[in-house]
Amino acid sequence: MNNMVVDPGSFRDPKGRVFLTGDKIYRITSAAGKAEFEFVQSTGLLDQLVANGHIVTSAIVSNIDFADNAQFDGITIEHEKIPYISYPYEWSFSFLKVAALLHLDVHLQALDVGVTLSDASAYNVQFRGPNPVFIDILSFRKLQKGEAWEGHRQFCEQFLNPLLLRAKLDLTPNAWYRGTQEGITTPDLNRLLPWYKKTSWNMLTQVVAQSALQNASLNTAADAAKKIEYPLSAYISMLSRLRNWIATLVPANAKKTEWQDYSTNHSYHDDEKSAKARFIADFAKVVKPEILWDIGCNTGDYTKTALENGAGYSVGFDFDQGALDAAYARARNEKLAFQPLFLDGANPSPSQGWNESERRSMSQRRNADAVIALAFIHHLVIGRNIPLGDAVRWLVGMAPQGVIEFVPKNDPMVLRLLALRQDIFTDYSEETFLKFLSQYADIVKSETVTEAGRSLHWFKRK
Amino acid sequence: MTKSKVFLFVCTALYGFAIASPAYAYLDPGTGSMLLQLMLGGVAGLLVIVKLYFHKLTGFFRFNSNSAEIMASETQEKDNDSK
Repeated sequence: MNNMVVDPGSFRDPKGRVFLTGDKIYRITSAAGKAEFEFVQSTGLLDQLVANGHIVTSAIVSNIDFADNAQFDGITIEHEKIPYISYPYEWSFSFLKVAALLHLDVHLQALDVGVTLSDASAYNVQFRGPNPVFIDILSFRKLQKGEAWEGHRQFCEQFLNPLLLRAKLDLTPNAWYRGTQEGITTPDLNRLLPWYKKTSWNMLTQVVAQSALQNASLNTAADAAKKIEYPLSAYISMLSRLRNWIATLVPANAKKTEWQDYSTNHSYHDDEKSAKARFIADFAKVVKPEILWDIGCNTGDYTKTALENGAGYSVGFDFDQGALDAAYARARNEKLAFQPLFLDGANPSPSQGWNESERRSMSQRRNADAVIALAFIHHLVIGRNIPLGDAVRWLVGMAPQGVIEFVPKNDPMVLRLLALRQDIFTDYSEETFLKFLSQYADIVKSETVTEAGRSLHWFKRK
Repeated sequence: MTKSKVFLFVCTALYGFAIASPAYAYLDPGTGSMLLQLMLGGVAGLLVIVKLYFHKLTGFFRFNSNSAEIMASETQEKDNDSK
């Protein structure tokens, strides 16, 4: 197949590589990878995990010809496609937490049948709506007698420590995580935490002791690991203990009602919200986007409207962590195909990692059939000084069709943004906005939805 | 410690570690993670930790003679470098 490209993020495991075509995902294995896969499959674990939705579906395929596959002389596996690949530095607390729990659940199930996971990378978990799914089936391998948990440190760095950062210190890990890509090291977390937050057994062992022992000699650790047989019961007990602990973690200072009882705080029965909802419903009915991007999704009010009216799947983006957690809760409770992710619109995820291509940028992962950006553009233009024309071009570039809401200067929300600063935005007006929008797109329909003059504009890219 | 001794030490440590890991391992579990698991895993692991810290404690009391040795070897290395 000529249009087959190797996934630049799949190089770490020598047992296989991931290849992508337009709409198919293949994993090619080495001979060692094949043997391992066959062993794991023989235990019945994979079928069981697919059945309860914990891992992606996989099917062995033949007659697929890959160029440059000399080192992969095993088998070819086709995987189901994930609607939108996201990275842990784009997840809110809720997403990282359920991803961590899934990882531990999958590992515990594997141990039951003599299988283990060779790593604990958070990048191996993806989402279908708000539901986590494990994607790297070559991480499963036979459990060796007496071995310890190889991925423990990685689990702490990529799952546990970022969660603790928010749960114990009310710090959001996203920017830090995006910088390191590998999460937050235990010694770093240990240095940040005051002593009185480290008194529980879990904190003392996982954070304090692990940090202290990190400085021990490599010789001693290697020697000990060689001589001592790690009991399976201890292995299982560590995973279960972590699971129980993580299940209780909540963001520090999170008022329960604020991010769980979102519906009472975010009722939208007034006229302007229903006018907006009608507009979005009409748009979704006509366009029927398979994938919708909701930029500035908040708790997902309008995504829900779009999903109820013909949109297939919504990837939401928002800056506010509280809104993202509420959006997660809504998606989970109401079973919406909605995946809300963290985004700073003025600083979207870049392509980065090894060779600057291991993790793809937001625009490289662009796959929307339609985009909506409601009550958003003023945050970019007035809040972050992005020129109006650039902001319009960026949004129009995301999908062939969409709806953008323009929020005028006399709107109370814009007045708030301008309250403490000089108004340098002389060209910020609906007229200028429409001038730019017409440059890049045809306007299908426009409607003013508030007294202050907020307006919605349905565009079709030129 | 001379440079060749450091090299020998690192090689031995890496070799020891390679043997300790299963053949499939491609991830470095990290010293802290490994020792923590062994420590929580049972009496044998706990003894290793106790031994480790006992060594550190006795090392503390041998501080003067050790540091004198280190200083002497560092001076030696500096002399070699400047030649």
